[in-house]
Amino acid sequence: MEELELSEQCRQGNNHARKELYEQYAGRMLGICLRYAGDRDTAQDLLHDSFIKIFDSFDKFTWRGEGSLRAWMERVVVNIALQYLRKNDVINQAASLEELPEEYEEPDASDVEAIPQKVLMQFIEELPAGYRTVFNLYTFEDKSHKEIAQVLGINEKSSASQLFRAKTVLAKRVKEWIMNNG
Amino acid sequence: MEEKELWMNKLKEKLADYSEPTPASGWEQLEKELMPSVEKKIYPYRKWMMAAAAVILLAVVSSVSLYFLGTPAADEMRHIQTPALATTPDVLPGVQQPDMQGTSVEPVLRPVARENRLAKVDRDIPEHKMPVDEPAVKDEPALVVEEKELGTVINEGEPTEETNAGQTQTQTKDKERPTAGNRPRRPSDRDKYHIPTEKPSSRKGTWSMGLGVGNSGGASSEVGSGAYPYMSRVSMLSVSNGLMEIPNDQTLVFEDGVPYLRQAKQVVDIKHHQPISFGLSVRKALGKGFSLESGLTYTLLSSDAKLADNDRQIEQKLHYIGIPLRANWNFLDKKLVTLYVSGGGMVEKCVYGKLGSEKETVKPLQFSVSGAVGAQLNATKRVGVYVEPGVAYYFDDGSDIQTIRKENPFNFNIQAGIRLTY
Repeated sequence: MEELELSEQCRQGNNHARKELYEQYAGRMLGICLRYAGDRDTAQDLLHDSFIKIFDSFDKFTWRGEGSLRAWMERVVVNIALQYLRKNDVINQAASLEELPEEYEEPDASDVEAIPQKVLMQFIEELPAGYRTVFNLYTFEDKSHKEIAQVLGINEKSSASQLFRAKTVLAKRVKEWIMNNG
Repeated sequence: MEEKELWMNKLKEKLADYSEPTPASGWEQLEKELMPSVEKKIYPYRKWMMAAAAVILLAVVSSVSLYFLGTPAADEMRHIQTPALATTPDVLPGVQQPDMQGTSVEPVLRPVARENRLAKVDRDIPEHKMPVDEPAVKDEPALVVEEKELGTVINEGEPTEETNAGQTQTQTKDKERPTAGNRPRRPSDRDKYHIPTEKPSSRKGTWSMGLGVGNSGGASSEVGSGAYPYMSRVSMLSVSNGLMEIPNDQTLVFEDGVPYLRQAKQVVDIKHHQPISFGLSVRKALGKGFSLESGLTYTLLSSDAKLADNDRQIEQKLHYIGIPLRANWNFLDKKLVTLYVSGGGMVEKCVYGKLGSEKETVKPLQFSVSGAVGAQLNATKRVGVYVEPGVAYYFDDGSDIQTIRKENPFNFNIQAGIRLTY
C-alpha cells in the first residue's frame, strides 16, 4: 500500500492497514525509542505506546507528500519518549558524574563509517540519560539548544554542556573501538 | 551553537535509517489492545454472562390454538357450553335404556341430543373445520340423524381408550345387542373435535412478564376442558338387564342427566401457567461475530389441575433442569447496539414433580429446538440489556403427563435480561 492509501485506511480503522503500517515502520520506530530510552525493554514499551497513540490520532494527520507519514510518526514517537523521560525525571540524572576532559579529539568521519550501526547505537544507549536526550534532540531532531532547553525544562547552557559531554564520551568510544577493531 | 562536526554528520546519516528488530509478538499485543476499536466488540461473553443478574421478562403469545381462537368461528364456539362432536352420533339411540343399578329408566326422549353429549368423552383434538352451528343439533335431533351415515358411526365407535378397558368387559357381558352403533362412545384418537371451553382468551395478544432468564412457554390455553377423557359414558348395553357393576376406582356421575363412569384419580381439567425459567449461560466467541452458547436452565411448569374425584384444585408442578446449546451470529455490531440471530436446541430433564401432594415425574427427556433474533443495547462496554424474541418447538416427550409443552409445542416467546460481558 502506498503511504497515502495506508494512512487513509489506518484512519478508517482497517486492521490490515494497521498491521501493515506496523510492519513497515515498527523497526525504525523501535530504533528511535531505543536511542532515547537506553534499554530495550523500555524501548519496546515506548514503541507500543507510540503505536497506540498513532492509531488513536490518525484523524490529526494530514498527508503532505511522501515521507510525511513517517515524519509524523517519528514525531509522535519522540514525544512519547520525551514524555516518559520527563515523567521519570531521568534527564537530570547523572548529569556530571564523570570527570570529563575539557577538550576532546574529534574522530574522523571514516572512523565512524567503519563502525557498525549496532555498535554506534550501543554507544548512544550507554550515554547517561541527560546527555543522551540532549544529544538525540540536537543531532537527530535538529533542535537548537533553546528549543531543547524549553522541551526539557533546563537552561540553554546546561543543554550545551550536556551535548558537549555526550560528544566527548562518544568520541572516546569511537576511538577505543577503532583501536580495538581497526 | 557549535558547528556540527563531520563525524557527527556521519553518525547521524548512518543511524538515520537504523531499524531495530521488533519483538515477535509486538503486533499481536498491540492488536489485542486495539481490539475494541478495531473489531468493535466481539463480546467474548467469557464467563457467567448471565450470572446472578438477570431480570427477565417473559412474554408469551399465541401459538396455534390462539390464532384459532381469534377467528369468528372460534369466538362463537367459545360461548357454547357443551362441546359438540363433529362426528356422527349414534343412529340407534331410541332403543337404549339409560339406567343405573336396579332401576329401569324411561327411554330417553331426545336421544340424539343425549348422544351429542357423548362428545364429552372425546379427546381434545381440535378440528378447525368443525361447523360452527353444530351445537344446534341438540335442538334438531331428527334432522341430524338423517344426515349421518352408519359407516362413520361404526368407525368412530371403536373403543380405543385404555382407561375404559375394565368397563368394556362389563359391557360386553351383555351380547344381546352387539350392534356397533350401539356401543358406548369412547374416546378415540380419531374423534375430531373439542372445544376448549376456556375463558375468553383474555391472554390473547398480551405479554405476560415474569422473572427469569430463558424460555417462556407458549400461549396458555387450557387442556382438556371441554373434553372428559376420564369419563366414559355408562354403557346402555350393560344396564339393559337393570343392573350394572361399577368398578372400584370409578364412580357413577350424572352429567346433564346422563350417567357416566368416572375414574377417580384422573386429572379432569388442567390449566397451565406460564413456564418460568432461570438460567446461566456462557458464551464463547468464535470470531467474526459468531459465538457458541451453553449453560444450565431451570424451568418450572406449573398447572392447576382438577382431579376427577375431587372438586378442589390441586397444583401440578414440574421442575426441569435443561442444558441449551445455541449458536449466535452478530450481524450488526455497533457501539451502542448489537443485533444477532441465534438458533439451537435444548434437552431438559424433569428432576422433580408433584401433582398435589403426590410425586409425579416425567421420565423421558424433553427436547426442543428454538430460534431467535436478539437486540442488545450496550450501556457500557461490559453491561448491556437485551431483548430476544424467538420461536421454540417442543417435541413430544412421549409421556402422558399433561404439560404446556404438549398443549403448545410450538410457541413464540420473548426473553430479556442483562448481559455481562468480560
